[in-house]
Amino acid sequence: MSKLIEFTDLHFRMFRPDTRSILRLLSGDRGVELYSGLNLSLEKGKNYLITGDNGAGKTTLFRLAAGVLQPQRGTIDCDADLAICLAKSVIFFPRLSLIDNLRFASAVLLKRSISDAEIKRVVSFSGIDLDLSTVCRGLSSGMSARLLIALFVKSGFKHIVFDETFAHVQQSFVDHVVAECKKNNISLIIVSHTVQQFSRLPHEVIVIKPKQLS
Amino acid sequence: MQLGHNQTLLFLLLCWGLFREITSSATNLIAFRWFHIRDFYFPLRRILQLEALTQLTIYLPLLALALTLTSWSEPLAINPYGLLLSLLNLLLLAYATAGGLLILGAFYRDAFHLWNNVSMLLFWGLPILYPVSKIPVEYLSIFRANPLFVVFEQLSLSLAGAVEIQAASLFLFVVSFFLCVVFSMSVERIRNQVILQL
Repeated sequence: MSKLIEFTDLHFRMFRPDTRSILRLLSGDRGVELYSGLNLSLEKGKNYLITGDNGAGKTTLFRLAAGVLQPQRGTIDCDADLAICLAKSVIFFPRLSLIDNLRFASAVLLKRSISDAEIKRVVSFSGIDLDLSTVCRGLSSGMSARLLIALFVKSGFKHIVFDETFAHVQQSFVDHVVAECKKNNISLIIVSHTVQQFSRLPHEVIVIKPKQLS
Repeated sequence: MQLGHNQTLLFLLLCWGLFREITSSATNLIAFRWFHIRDFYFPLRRILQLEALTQLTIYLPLLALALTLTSWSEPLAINPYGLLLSLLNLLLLAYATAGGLLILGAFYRDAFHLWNNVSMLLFWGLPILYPVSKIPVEYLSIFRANPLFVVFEQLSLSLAGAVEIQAASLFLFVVSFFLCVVFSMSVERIRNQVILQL
């Protein structure tokens, strides 16, 4: 089976800035080493559930894969058909309409433009009964998370990473997404604390612990 | 026709506003306006460029309007080349300072508050509210150590119609252009620090 994401000899050190950062830097503090020589490969066609304690480095791993963060050393190879969803909401501009927010989200998160017909399918899949011209101010976190998940599931990508995106959505919607992904052969990589939410999804569990993987 | 004192003051204040907005936006833009970049890849230097462009779209029409309205009745006796060079220097210097502040802000969280105070000091050190002739000659070299002083001195001269272009302005153009390139290339190296503070 071919590789979906491969982390090779990954080194990543985090230096969190604070009011005394400059003094810390001058005193030789170079931050905390999160990964030191991490090797991990995820295969195509499999579903994964990635879990672990807060601060273990689950989100950082996929921020590195998405290029948002840069490793100090090591390589990350990602399949071209992989979409990584790090956002928690599809609403970037509360004063803009739903259709404009979805267009913007598609452009920046998926790096592709989206037609009006595709937007209608996304909104319909999310199960949210809203007019496309509705201004997004006041949309709940659950509703915007559902729209975000629908945008990714309906994007045409064959492999999708969701980082804590399901935290605010109800179980019936999770089951709806799992069924849709099974139907369209979309493999999911879920980063979450709630393993039970995905009982209907056959998956491998990867537990990330601080400074190691098991 | 020569520009009056009030028109020159208005023009200089607008130029100061442009510099102030471009530089101060660099220290607080990431935390307040661009925090979504933790969710997708976006080049940091593009943010600096977009912010500078935003301020230009606000201030350039105002500057053009100020000049047009004052020259409505008869043509102005200004030095257009000196004016253009000063504005270009101001922009390059603002962009380079913004890059430097963005890098500082990634390591020192309170850079924004620090810059507020420093820029206030800078303002009083520039020949905006007073002419260069009011500065005692023995202190002039201290004032001239500030590159912004050179920009505003050339601006005042050009607005007054003086044909001379100071050698310092030409030198500043080369230095600030070099600094712009250096900071543009350097901001991506502090990407991790910028993202981790969001």
